[in-house]
Amino acid sequence: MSTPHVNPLDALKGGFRKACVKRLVGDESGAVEVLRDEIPKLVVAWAKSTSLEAAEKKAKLKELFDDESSRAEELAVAFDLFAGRFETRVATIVRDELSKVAGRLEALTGKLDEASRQIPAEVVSSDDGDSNEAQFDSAEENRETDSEDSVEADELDPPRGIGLRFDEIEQMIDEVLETDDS
Amino acid sequence: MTDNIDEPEAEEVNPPSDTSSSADGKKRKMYVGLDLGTLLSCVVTKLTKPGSDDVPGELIPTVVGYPEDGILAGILPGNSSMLHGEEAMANQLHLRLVHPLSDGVVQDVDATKSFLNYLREKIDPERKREVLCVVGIPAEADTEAKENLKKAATGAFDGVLFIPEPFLAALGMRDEEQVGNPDYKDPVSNSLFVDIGAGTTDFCIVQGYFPKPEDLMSIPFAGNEVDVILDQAIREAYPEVEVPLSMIRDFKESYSYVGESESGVRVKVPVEGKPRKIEVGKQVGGACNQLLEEVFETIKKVIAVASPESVFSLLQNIVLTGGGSRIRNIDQELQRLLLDEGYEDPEVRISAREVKPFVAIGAMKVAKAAREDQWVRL
Repeated sequence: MSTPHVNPLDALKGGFRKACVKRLVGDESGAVEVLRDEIPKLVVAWAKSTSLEAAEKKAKLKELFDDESSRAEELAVAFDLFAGRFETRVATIVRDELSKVAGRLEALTGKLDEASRQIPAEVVSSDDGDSNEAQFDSAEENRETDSEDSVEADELDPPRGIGLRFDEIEQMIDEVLETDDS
Repeated sequence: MTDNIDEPEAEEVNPPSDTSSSADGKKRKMYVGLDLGTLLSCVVTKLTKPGSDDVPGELIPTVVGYPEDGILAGILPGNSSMLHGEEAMANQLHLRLVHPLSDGVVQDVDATKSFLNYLREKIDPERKREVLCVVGIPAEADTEAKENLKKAATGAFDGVLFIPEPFLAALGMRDEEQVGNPDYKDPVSNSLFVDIGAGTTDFCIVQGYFPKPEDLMSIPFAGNEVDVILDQAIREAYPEVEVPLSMIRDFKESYSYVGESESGVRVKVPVEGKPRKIEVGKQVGGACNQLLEEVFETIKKVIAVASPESVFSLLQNIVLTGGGSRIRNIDQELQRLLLDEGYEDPEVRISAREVKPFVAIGAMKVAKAAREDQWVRL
């Protein structure tokens, strides 16, 4: 991104991805910093470098942000799967974090929308309503996928054996008897 | 008959003979832990004191012997119509031996019933007690297997609980008195148990909690398979020699090893009634190495599904138990194979040189902890 020879589109993708990753790993202030200080400049730089029509630019931007959101989502899923055998407490924390990421992505798209408004009018038209709606839909999809992945992670890895310690013999017997009855 | 049985614990099960019923007429309870194995069973009626090296319980061959037709009176002890355990083994020449279990589950309900009644006679010959028995069952035992066992136990015990063997083995290995001791390495905190029995080899990840089904794996390759392979190998090497399976088993138990092929194991076998010595070192090693290979391959599968965060410490706590753990060098060879395969610092150890009946000990612990309403009355 700081290298002047990098394709502006790639630089923009890289910058947005960086923000997503920072959020995923819990570095909220780092993500905000990238969104505030880097992304608007990268959007402007890319907008200037392309000969697309304003509507096409907007569509391209949306596509880019959707793609990167999906990648972040995939990363989150992979993270979730690896966390599949973590202890319940940790898995819960991971799920909560992923839910927060989905929520933050929604906020992120708002910020990006704001950044896009800083682009000269001749580059991008200001059809914010559609843009917000599309981005909102994207965030909703992310949230739904996140929820499904959480369920999958639970199914993949019920952690900590049957959940009873070795000094809980009576409860273990109950569990065994219950299994026999079912 | 009961000489080898531990004296039951006084407070629960060993009242004076004339007070085996309490004042209200109810029979006194006797708790029993039973590992009903394919070849060997173990009955525990008393837990040893913490820290004691005493091995509780009695090992009894899981076998029932039916007299051959036409056997003369007086040949069998007491002119018995059926013999069990050691007596059956000692008189096998005149008996048709039946193993009631196969791969850890009941295959002959009547024979199992007879065997369990024999055990009852050993621990409570006068049937004055209310005997409540916890029996270890294979983790993968299905409903039919449990039903058959229940049928067989009816009449032998007054109440039963069937508990998966991996639970019991882990419980049996644990020394609860030492749990608070900082120097005590709790075997159930994060270990992979490999129980090499006769019919099956069971693998179980134990991480402080009773394991779930996914933490368990079982393969039908264990001591019995080694016997079969050894039998074939000896037949191929010495076609003129006819060695009974019991003798093959003795060779295995006396000389088993894994690793580089060894020679110098000369055993006496009958050839047309005459004694002859044959070399079986290579055959014994070959059969045992096949078991080692099967165990190694399955351990890799089990490790692959272990939690990424615990797998490294798990690799340093691989515990071998069961009769197969007595094979010479099996811990070292397994560790070497894992190391060669690229696993980091694996450590394999034997649970105890003298094979303690962990399943039966664990069963006894469960029996003592069970609530009254949890027993399945027969």
